[in-house]
Amino acid sequence: MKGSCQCGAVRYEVTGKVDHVSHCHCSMCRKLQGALFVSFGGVARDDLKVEGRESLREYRSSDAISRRFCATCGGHVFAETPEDGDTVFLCLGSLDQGEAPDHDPASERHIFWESRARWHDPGDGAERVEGFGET
Amino acid sequence: MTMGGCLCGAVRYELTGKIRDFYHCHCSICRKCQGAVYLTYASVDRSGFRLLAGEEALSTYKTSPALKRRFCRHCGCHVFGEMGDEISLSVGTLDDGADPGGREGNERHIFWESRCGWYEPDDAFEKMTEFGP
Repeated sequence: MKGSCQCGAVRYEVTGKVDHVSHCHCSMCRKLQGALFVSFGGVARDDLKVEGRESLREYRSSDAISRRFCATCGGHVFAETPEDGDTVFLCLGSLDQGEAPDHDPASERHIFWESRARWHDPGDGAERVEGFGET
Repeated sequence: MTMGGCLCGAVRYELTGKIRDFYHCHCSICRKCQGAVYLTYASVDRSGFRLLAGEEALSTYKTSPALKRRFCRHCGCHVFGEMGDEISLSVGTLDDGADPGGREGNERHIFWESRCGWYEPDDAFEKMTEFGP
């Protein structure tokens, strides 16, 4: 799987599988990326190769998470923990040609469903959970 | 009053005018600018949109000669686009998930042919090629 920001200053390649896909409806994701929800794919840090890191800017939306976006085009590419944790959360809209993440469709969930924009329902069959759901 | 802004709060705006158009865009440019699988916009005349704070925080990225995308350089949020006299607002930036109005008769999916093949919303709204007829 390959992806990038819109201007191409930041490019990445993922060699492993996507562990899970979360469509997040929390107010932070909405206000950070301007969408009604944002879809993330969890990948192992060791499976992610990033080119153009010097173009990445960091925004900490909480103590636990750093959002990474391109300084030139504002393209959001992934989020990670400030301590370089084992999992990186790819912004799946940044995959090339709308490529499918290599994941189990059964792992797809709408998270923070209680925080969604109430007037919009994407209508797909994926499970809806409160917060991150039960682990 | 309908208000909104980016996540870090540097950019704040107020919506005073009537929404002219409303759509969910599936094009690859929007996806790669904002990182979501589709993006929802509400358009309003420039006179119906007031920037309350953050002009100095807004970066500009042009994806066509006519379209200037404006994003916050601190948090990266694409708050709105400017095309001539029209402002296309990223609807996710409205405070508290507000409904900006203007959906009736307008709400549709555009650039459906460019959508992510693996994710499709399943709603009743019309799916159009490019901007539609």
